[in-house]
Amino acid sequence: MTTPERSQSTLIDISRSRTLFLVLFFGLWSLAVTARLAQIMVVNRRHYLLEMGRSSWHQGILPAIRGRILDVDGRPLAWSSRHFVCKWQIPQNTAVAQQQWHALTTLVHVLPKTWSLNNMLTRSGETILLHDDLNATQFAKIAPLTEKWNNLYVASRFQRHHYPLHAIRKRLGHVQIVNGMEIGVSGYELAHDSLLRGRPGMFRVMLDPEGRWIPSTWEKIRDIKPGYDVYVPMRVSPLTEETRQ
Amino acid sequence: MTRKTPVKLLTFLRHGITPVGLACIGLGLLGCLAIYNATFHLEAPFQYVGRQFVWLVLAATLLVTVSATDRKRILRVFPWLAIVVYAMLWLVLRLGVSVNGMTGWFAWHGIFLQPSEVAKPLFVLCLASGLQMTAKHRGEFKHGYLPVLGILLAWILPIMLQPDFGTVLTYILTFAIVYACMGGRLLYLAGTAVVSLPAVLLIVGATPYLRDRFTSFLHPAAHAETSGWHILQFQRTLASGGAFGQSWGNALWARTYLPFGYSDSIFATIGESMGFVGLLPFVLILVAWVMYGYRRIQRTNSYLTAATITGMVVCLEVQAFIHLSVNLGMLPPTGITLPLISYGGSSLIATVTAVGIVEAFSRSSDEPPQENT
Repeated sequence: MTTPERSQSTLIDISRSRTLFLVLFFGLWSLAVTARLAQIMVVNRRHYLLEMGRSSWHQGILPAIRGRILDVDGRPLAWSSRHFVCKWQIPQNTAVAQQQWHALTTLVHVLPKTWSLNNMLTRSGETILLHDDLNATQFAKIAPLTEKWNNLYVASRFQRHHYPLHAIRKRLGHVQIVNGMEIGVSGYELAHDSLLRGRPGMFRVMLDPEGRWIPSTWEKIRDIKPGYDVYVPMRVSPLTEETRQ
Repeated sequence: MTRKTPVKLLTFLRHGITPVGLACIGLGLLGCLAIYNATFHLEAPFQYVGRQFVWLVLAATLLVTVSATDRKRILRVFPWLAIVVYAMLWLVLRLGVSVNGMTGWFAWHGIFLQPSEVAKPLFVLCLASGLQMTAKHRGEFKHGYLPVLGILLAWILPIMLQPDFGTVLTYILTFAIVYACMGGRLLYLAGTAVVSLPAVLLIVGATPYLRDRFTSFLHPAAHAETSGWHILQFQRTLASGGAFGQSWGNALWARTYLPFGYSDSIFATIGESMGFVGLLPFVLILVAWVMYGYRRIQRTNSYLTAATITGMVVCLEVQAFIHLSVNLGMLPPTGITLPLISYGGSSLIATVTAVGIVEAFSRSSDEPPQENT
């Protein structure tokens, strides 16, 4: 039995009716698309944002500068200063290491003269301290490089200074660096630690897939509160200074 | 210059500049904005949008020309174009450049041409002509179905060798829907699907990147660092947009984490900027396009015109919905662009050609039924 031949007009009629099913099919597909859009962008948005926050946002602290310890006359017995260090993780790739080495040595002149390129290449993968106290000019030169290379970074550090007399130093006590902050561990530094420490600030920044900061996303979420100055019942008398001399 | 020349020019412009054509150009400009939104942070911020704009200008000219061209002239010219483009599909395998493992582009001084995109409207015209020629045997297998199936296989074979399975899927779906709409027997389509299923499974199983795409589609979180990465970033980029978007220029997640935010992932990029509310018009436009094609088909008395319009509409619609579905995680990732919006000159040319052909064929929709042309 042969299939009956169909005239084109019959086929056109069939196509007109079947095209309606086509419209219905794409209409249903568009409803499914819209529902899925609503699910992702509205209903379950919070869930996705939490995932994104876990994987890409980084929170960190902004250390507060520690307060000073002053004698009864207001002379500083202990104080902190902030310094900026430059660290470089030597790349595994020799060509990249050479390129960065030449840039660092010609642009910023921060490297100790005793180090050489060959010396650096034998220590690939290691993080070395290039400079432990950058001045403003050096900092300005290095900043653009830290944005280009994720293996070069500048970090801040605090250094606690104490009155040089041994007897006074013993009473003042010592600090330890914990999470970039100075924490008192003995003497007056410990006794008045809650006032001296201050409160660190907090920031958050988005990381790209390689773990680098995206500078435009950096935002401070809590202000730094510097430590209070504390007066202690001591006096650095002129007699004591002459004795030291 | 005779007095008829200005009249001819006016007629040309009246036929060439249509509301649908203007809407296409408007979408093309929106596409340029979306591409810039995704790439302005690069070292060369105008690299992509500049090229896309140039292609858009060419596409606008082509759209007007094709829309204004008489249907009969198109039918006279397209076989020669089809031969040339078909040859290009085979030549690109030899002479083309490879991008992401796919040898599908001719490159010349920074200009890329993808023949499989440009071939789409010509494939549809070949299919429509094949359906027209076999219309008398529409319900038959040997004389009504196999010839048009042969047209499909001939066009998809070189594309499969690139390999570009996303584009192959577009061709196959276009064929199936057009054949079904033009009075074909659904049983033949179902039978073809069943018979080819083992071959499809074999190809997927034997091709590592295809296998990875399917497994990561089913469990994206389990492959978060590898093949599931793109799927997860689609969802997160869209979620970042929320209901009302982050506004243009602030698609941070798309710029940072989402791969190909200017082409394969552009719907998600726009979603982050415009939000759920801003994406709804895109879905409505796609529905409107199908409705427009449906109305044109209702008004024609020509089988060839009906088949051509159905094919052009379906081809663009399928491509757009695959792109949306991939961006929403409803289908495994493929390299399918969003017509008129995504970066890509070849896709733009193919889309405006298809739209122009719909306009040109629609203009002759009131002609009497033709049995033998």
